[in-house]
Amino acid sequence: MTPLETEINYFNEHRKKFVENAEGKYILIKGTEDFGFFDTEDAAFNQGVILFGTEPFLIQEVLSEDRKFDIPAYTLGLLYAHI
Amino acid sequence: MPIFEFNYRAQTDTKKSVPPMAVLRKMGPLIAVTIALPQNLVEVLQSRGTPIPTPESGYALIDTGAGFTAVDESICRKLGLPQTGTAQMAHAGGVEQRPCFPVQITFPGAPLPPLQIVRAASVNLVAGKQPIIALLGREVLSRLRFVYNGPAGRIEIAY
Repeated sequence: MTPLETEINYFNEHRKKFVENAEGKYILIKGTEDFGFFDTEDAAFNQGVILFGTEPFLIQEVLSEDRKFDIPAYTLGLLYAHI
Repeated sequence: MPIFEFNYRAQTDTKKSVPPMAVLRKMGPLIAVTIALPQNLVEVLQSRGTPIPTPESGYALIDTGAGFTAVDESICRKLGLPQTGTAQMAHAGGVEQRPCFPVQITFPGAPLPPLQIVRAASVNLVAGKQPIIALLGREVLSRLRFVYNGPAGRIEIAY
């Protein structure tokens, strides 16, 4: 089991309900328990550190589908390319 | 709005001088950074009497093409950062899931305020033993005004 797999599975199982209640906010999850919605990920992180210290915890943006990001310089291997 | 300017210096190649605009073009917009634990994690460790991991220094590339900020995975390990999420990274072969960690980025030698990034993606940046240890993506740029002054060989950051 990878780190945060339990938390990610929990989020995905309850995603629909979370989106209905708090789309666009950030949720804090540890294990199979959620600890509230926050307007910013900084606020969720600060609360996570208060509750769990240096243990891993999940901060997840509440969306119907996860965002997909790109870093072309990295994924295309162009970071150190000299043309 | 305070402005920080970094002027690239001309470099002397084996036979000729390379002007600042060419140095900037070759190296890209780099800025010296230090990667450390966020302050509230430092305070947790201090309260337990646990040693604080030594911050790591290097250069960050300001990358307008990057959707988010990334930090080299070896640094995330050295700092013992707690994972805070995952990032879905899109590329030609599909989607790769990368772990995310909280970091504090400071800018030694520049009058820029420290940045806390709650979910920086962990990727392998220094495999080539290059000095780039982080990519500053658009979520960082959303907090700044950044000017790439190519003809002058200068970058300007206002915050």
